[in-house]
Amino acid sequence: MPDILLIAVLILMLAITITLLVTLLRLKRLVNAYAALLKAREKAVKVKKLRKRYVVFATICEERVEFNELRDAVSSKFRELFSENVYYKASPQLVLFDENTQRGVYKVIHLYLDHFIATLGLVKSIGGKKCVVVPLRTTGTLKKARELMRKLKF
Amino acid sequence: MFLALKRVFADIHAGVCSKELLDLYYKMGYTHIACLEKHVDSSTLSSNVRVVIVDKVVVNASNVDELKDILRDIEYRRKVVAVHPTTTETARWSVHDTRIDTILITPSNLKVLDKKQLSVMKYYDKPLEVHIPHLLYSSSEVKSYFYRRLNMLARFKVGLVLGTSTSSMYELVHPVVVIKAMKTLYDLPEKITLLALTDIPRQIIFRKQVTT
Repeated sequence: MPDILLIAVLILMLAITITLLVTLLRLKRLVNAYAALLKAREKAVKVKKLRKRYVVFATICEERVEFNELRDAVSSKFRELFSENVYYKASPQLVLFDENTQRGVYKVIHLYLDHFIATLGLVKSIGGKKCVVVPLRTTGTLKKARELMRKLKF
Repeated sequence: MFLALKRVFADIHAGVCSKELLDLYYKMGYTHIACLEKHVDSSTLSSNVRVVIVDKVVVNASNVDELKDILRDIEYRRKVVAVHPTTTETARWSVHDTRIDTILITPSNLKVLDKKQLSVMKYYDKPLEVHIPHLLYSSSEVKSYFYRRLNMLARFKVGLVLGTSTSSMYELVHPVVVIKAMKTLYDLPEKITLLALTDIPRQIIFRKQVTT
């Protein structure tokens, strides 16, 4: 009789150990999953700061080009090449345009600078006039862009 | 950034070389140009514009015999020779001929360029010539062909040369714009495009007996 009891106790202890082990393993997996989730959330929260870039450019055209004509031509070309979605993300804005020297400054979000420079150079007609637009330099501040607009030789 | 890249570019295919176009070429940073039609003498250019101009010939060939006949009459030591093969056989043959400088690919012969052609081109170190207007102003079907072919070319590490194919002033595209356009529109690394506009075409033009 005591033998049977001993065996029963042993089996019970074994069962409890196995159950404990399984539970521990599950708990470990849960802890790992939670840690990964926390890490992913931390990563997702980190959003890059959107910085501005100012592109100084010059236009060489058959005739003089006006501010509105240039703005329309560039925005339509951008939409044609990279679609509406990228256009509003890049949000290019014609900040300055000197109609006498035919030079200007465009503001664009730094993530889409390459897209914008590609677009600017591929504009071949502004208000029905044949044109070449040459990107001269990119800066981080409007003050420097203004200086470069006056100083740069082309 | 752009000023630092000045005066290093070369154009392997200019349609017409007039005085005003060469001035603009120089302003944009081009120093070596291969022209199909020269409408200007190097002596008439102003002293500020120091551009090296060489002649360019494009040979359209549908079979090898025809290509051999045409090549016999070409002054290949002074002219940049590009072959526009319309059949696979001609494309394969033109790769190993030393008189030929580049293999031209246009929308009409895109299907000639396959994996085997690229591996042969890599073996003989022959660059592929592509014209920028074909990349920028073609239909979306042609662009998708070019996209796959150019990425395959980048993977095979075959040389690429880009020609502007310009015949008037307003058709010229700034080289930095080309680099950015190839990066954003064709996912081609900037390094490959930069080489395609500088080192590889310059080497080809240097090989010819240049006249300044």
